[in-house]
Amino acid sequence: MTELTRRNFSVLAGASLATLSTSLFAPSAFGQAKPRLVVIGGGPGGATVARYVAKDSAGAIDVTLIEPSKTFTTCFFSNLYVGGFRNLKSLTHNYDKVRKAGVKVVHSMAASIDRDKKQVVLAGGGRVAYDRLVIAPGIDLKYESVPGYSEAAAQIMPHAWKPGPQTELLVKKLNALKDGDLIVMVAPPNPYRCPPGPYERVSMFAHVLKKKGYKKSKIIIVDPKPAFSKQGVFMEGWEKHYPGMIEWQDPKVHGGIKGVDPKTGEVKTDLATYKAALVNVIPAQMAGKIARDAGLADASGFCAIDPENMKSKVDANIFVVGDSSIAGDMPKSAFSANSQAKVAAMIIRSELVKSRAFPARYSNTCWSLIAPDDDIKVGGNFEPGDGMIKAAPGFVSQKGESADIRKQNYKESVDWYNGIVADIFG
Amino acid sequence: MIGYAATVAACHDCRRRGRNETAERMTDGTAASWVIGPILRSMRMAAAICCACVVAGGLTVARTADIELGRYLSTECITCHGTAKADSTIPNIFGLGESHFVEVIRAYRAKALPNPVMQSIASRLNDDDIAALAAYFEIAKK
Repeated sequence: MTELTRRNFSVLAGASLATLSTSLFAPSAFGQAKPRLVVIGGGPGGATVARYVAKDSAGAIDVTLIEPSKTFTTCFFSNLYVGGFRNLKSLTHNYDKVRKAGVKVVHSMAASIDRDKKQVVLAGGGRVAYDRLVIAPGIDLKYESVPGYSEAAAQIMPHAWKPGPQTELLVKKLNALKDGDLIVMVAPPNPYRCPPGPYERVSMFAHVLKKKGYKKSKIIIVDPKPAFSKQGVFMEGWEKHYPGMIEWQDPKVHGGIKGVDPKTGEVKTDLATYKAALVNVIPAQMAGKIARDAGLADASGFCAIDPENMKSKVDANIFVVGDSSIAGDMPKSAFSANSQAKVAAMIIRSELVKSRAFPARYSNTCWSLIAPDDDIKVGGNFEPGDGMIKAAPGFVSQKGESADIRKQNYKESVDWYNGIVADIFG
Repeated sequence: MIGYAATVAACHDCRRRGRNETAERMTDGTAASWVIGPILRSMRMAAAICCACVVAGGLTVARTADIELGRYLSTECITCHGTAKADSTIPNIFGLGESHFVEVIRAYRAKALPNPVMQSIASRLNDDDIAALAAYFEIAKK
């Protein structure tokens, strides 16, 4: 067949007859074992790559997803659980449809990567061989970045930056507060998962306190950053909905974060020592352990990638997608991870079964809820440029927007949630 | 590969009879062969593409939309539009008529429609990208 005919054939068939077209005409499928893709991590990045490669190659590539948990609770929208708008069950998804797409889902922990042998070593000692590997382990927390904080301290001062029991603990503590109690959030330094996330969370704290009719409680954010995502519209919203309740302190105000004491509930800065009934510490972050152990992370703790394809700059057989990658101007978000995953999936198929490759294009939008029906958004397009993933001019919600626009944003965010989880998990 | 003449003929036929009827006629009696079926489908596609170019682009020369490009670009759309329901703020775009699709995306690109997310997405789509997406979504199923 001519290139054009073959191309049209496989694409047209893709809508209805993908199995036949790919398995019969993919050159590497003749007379040899199927090429193998292994994906570590079943979140927005990993599950998307696995599902897209399985779906679009329709059996021509052997796809294995290694993920220890049988369900996945999304970090995105978990602030809406904090605010009482969602329950955790509505944010929890399983891998049934990922399996139906043709992915072998292995519920095991990936212990290490043997890059020389191109094998993933499982916690139980088994090995899974790959031709291409995608790692999407998300973030690990640098507990020690806040003096006095630790994994044990997180049982008293939750971070809730990985969803599940930590988020439940945070909500339990929030709901136990009395009027007049103080909340302190120690915000994270860049780069971190979900740039507007801490500020949406504070909005949800305030919403819960306001709903209880509390007049005396306050929320203080001690921030290591001089500015934050959607700052103008967040602060406008705080004054509108929660006047006088939220105080944001940048380093010029607090003079430096000295540490926390889980025994006393204290947060110390150069400016003052606060004794709070609820302390939410969101420490600095780095790529998941398996990526660091495999030598894929640089001194920043995250993994450098080729912006054209999401390949590790260290190992051309390994792709890094999502929060553990250094994605230039792209924020660490589920939307970004999902977008990066589609580029990686397209490149992986082109390498393993000679499907057509296209120039990488990425996009992201992040919605944040300030108060009921008052939702703001930020987003834009991203493309390779100057050796990184560069942002094109984007958009951000403006001060003084109508209530209708903000309400529409909220509905849009809910529709987006339904859309993206179906895109990730099937 | 389908030639220009065949494409135009199919196109005219398509416009006269209605696309669904044409599709029925073209697949009749082919016994679902895995070789013939896709080729006939590609003829159907070529007819659809031709219509899109003429109707939406106002072009004097028929061009072939790059469906495979459309399929790749569509992955960005599916993030939000994949589960759209009748009452969604994010509308369903599967099965949307090509000319309507082209018209709407061009309107977003020109900022004549208001949503900044869609304005941003449309801003980097050139006419070929839009034609590719339109041709893809007209036949794509959820």
